[in-house]
Amino acid sequence: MVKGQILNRESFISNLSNILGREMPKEVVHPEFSCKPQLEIYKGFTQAQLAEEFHKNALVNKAGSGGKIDSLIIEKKDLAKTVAEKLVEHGNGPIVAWNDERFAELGLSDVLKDAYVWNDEKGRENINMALNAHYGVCISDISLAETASYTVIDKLGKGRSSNFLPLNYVCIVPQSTIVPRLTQGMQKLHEMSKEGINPAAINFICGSSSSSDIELNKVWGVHGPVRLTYLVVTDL
Amino acid sequence: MGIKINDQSFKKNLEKNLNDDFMRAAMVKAQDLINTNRTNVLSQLGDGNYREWQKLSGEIRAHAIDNLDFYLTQFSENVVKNGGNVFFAKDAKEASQYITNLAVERGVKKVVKAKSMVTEEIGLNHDLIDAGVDVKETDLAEYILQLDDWNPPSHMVVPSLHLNKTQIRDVFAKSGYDGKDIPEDLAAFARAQLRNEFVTADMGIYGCNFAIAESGAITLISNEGNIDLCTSAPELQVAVMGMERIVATYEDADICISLLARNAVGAKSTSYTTFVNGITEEGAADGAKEFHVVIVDNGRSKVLKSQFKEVLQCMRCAACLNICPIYRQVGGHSYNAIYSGPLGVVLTPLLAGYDDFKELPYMCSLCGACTEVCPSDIKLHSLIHEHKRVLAEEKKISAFWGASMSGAGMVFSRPWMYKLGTSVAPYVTAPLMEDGKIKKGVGILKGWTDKRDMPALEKIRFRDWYVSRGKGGNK
Ligand code: SF4
Repeated sequence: MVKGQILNRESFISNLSNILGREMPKEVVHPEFSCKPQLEIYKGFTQAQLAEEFHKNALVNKAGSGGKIDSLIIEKKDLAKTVAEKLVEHGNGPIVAWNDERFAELGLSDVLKDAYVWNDEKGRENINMALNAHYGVCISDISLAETASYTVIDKLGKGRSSNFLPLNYVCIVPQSTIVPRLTQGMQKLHEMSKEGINPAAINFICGSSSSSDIELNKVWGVHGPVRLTYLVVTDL
Repeated sequence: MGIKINDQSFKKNLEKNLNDDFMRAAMVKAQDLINTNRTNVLSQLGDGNYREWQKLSGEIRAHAIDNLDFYLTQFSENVVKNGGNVFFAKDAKEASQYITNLAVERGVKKVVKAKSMVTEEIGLNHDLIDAGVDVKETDLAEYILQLDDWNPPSHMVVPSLHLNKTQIRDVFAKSGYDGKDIPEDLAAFARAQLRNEFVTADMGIYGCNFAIAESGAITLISNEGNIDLCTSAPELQVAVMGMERIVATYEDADICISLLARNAVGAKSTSYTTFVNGITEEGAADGAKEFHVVIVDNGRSKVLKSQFKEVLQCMRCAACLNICPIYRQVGGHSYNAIYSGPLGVVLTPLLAGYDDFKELPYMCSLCGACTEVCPSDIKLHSLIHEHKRVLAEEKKISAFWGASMSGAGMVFSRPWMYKLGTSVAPYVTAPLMEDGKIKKGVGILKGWTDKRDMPALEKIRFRDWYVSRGKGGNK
């Protein structure tokens, strides 16, 4: 296993500098580009308005997915009951959940008492549990109103495979995590990166797995989850 | 596979594709569907001022290309900070060998691959297979093409567009499928076959839509989620990127990602947008334990040096294919290369030389539709025109109709020849007539009459008719 190796860089880069007709600069000032249309989208919207937009756009995705995607706007007091309903909506089956204390804080310990909780110490066994899971459940870290996307920022206990292997998925979207669009999501990652924090994986997800590769017919669940339900929680 | 997809002559290839009615209808359907969705979704982007976004994206890409040495250096340092390794490959052979050696040295038995044009370009699959590695393409279209004996892709975003569902059913039947040609059933079969592959593979290989210099992140965009699975379970992972995939910051990537999804598939976003920053956290049960990025030149630095540099801004969205009137008629395989449509016309001769691809610049009517849609703000039609100029003036290479064009030039520049030719043409073509139309042309007419009838040439020349018209002749 190698780590930290860079091969052939010097000749490769000096060839490029030659072609560009100068020495490689020590610093490059990032320019001000001519316009910033991305900042105008949902400018000045309140969190409640962004939640409405998120939900509206999720319903547009629902219409385009023949009902494979769904979205509900709820309050925290109804969360446990709604999650419990959603985790049996498409039949009973094994559930996989992150090892994340936020589930207990949200009052979901009871609902998830039979779920398999990702345990990194068990190694590859986790992946097999995710492979056979009927439901997966997660909490969005950053949520994008424009595309109705939720975000998973990789961390111990969150198991990447648990996000992509279960058949059905339920995502809790706290209203406070909603930003207008990818622009603000990227600003957060930029700020984290400046502080030297680069999570190993960051996944923005806005639908269930789909493909149009067979005569352009849209089919669902080609690899990952077939169904996705968002629960937008207005008082979180 | 490499850049060239078959050894047939350009003309033979074209003839074959023009006779493939399903493929031609599929191209028309794809263009119409994707363009309608694209136009719709772009009209909802901000206040609908696409030109502004296009300009911004062009500036972002041009800035990265103008500082490629700096940003690639910064990127490679950040990959290392994230626990990864970087290999700079000057050509296809070096890149493919590095990855193949890695697989052999680590005792890899099975690789899961996510769709990547650059791994096609470097011919990686065949090197891995020759080394005894079991390669599984996991993108549904690529999976179909692999099972169909590595049938080449015909579209950059929908590579299996040229195959119909019955052909796909027959391909799957070779792997045990006994169902009908229903897309949902076919996809369910692929799901069942591939899920286990992801979790049992020793190595994951994927491409890179954008590499982010400030963090060392590889950005991956897909609807299927297969890329995410390739980045999850395998312990050894390799990302392969053309050296021009770089952008400076996450914020720059925002604009490119926003335009890529809208232009490629006519959606606000693909289902999955993923950033991979090197190896997984210590102690994590999945994610890469060993991570490599292979940065490929393979002729791109020659492009950087040339008047075609702007094409390096391309983000491989295929919007130019989806709008091109020529692509609509001839389909992706007629370009005889993995890059097709207007992008292929510009890029293929630059990466693979004019010798095998001198006809490509003539697969363009210079209508400029590609330039109008391109989210990277590349003046594609000007670059194609420049290829034509280089071929005619510098290389003196006559493409397949060079002789006809120089013949026409000679006739048009000599009034007596022109007059004689236009006077005798109706009589010379008389033997080819049937029911008042030319149905079976010869020579230069054949290309036309193979597909449709040609009206008979009038016995009176236009010029003569026009003059006599003013004098009370036949109106
Ligand atoms: S040249 Fe422009 S339109 Fe064509 S694939 Fe590249 S980015 Fe898309």
